[in-house]
Amino acid sequence: MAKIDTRYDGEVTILDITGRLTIGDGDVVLRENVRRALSDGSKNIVLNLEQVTSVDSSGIGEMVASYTATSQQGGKLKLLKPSMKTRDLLTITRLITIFEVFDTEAEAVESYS
Amino acid sequence: MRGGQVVPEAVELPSEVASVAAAEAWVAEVCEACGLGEGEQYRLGLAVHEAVVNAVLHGNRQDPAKRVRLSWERRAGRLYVTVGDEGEGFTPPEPSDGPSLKPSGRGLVMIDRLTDGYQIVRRDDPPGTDLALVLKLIK
Repeated sequence: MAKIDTRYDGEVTILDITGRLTIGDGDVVLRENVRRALSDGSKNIVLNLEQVTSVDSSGIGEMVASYTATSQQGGKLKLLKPSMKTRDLLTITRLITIFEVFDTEAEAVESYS
Repeated sequence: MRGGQVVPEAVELPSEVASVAAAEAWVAEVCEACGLGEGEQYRLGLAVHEAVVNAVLHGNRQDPAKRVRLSWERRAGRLYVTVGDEGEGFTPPEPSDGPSLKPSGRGLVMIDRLTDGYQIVRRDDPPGTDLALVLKLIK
């Protein structure tokens, strides 16, 4: 079962995701956590994908829905440390042009300032 | 052959999301039987995962009376894995120049890129739709 831990670095909310971002598992957990972060007033959200073990189209779809929901709140959702496989899926689906992707947390947090 | 056991040529699964994991386990055995490498196993495994999700959610609409049927065969240097449902069939999405911000509709796009091709075949007996995934086998 996927797990998400939420932490903060200044005005940036970082969601550390562990496990599978797939149908019926991580996709639901991601939706709940992003909605909670937005309702708590977060606008700058980073999804830390370093510990994500697999992603499917449902997980990709939930990342897109989270991106859209965050944008509608006047914020920005960005990705941190996706695996090569996840990057490939983002390329296949052309979403690599939508998401800002970072290799280090410091760069991701700094990008909001 | 795995552990002295032949991988079933066909399996039937209930129309529920939990069947996706069972399909992944079955196709992993197929890949092993065919001697596929890690990269090919990942590609075919995810493609079958997506095809079964489509069959369960869109083809059979999670109807407990309907089944998802998986089968495989090696032929002419290719591995064919077929995912069948009892649905009305579907039309592949038109190619898009740009990214879509819709939350769904990416399964077939991913299948197309993960495999060496696929075919959608309307089946009469029993009625339904087969999605045949093709992977070239490296000799």
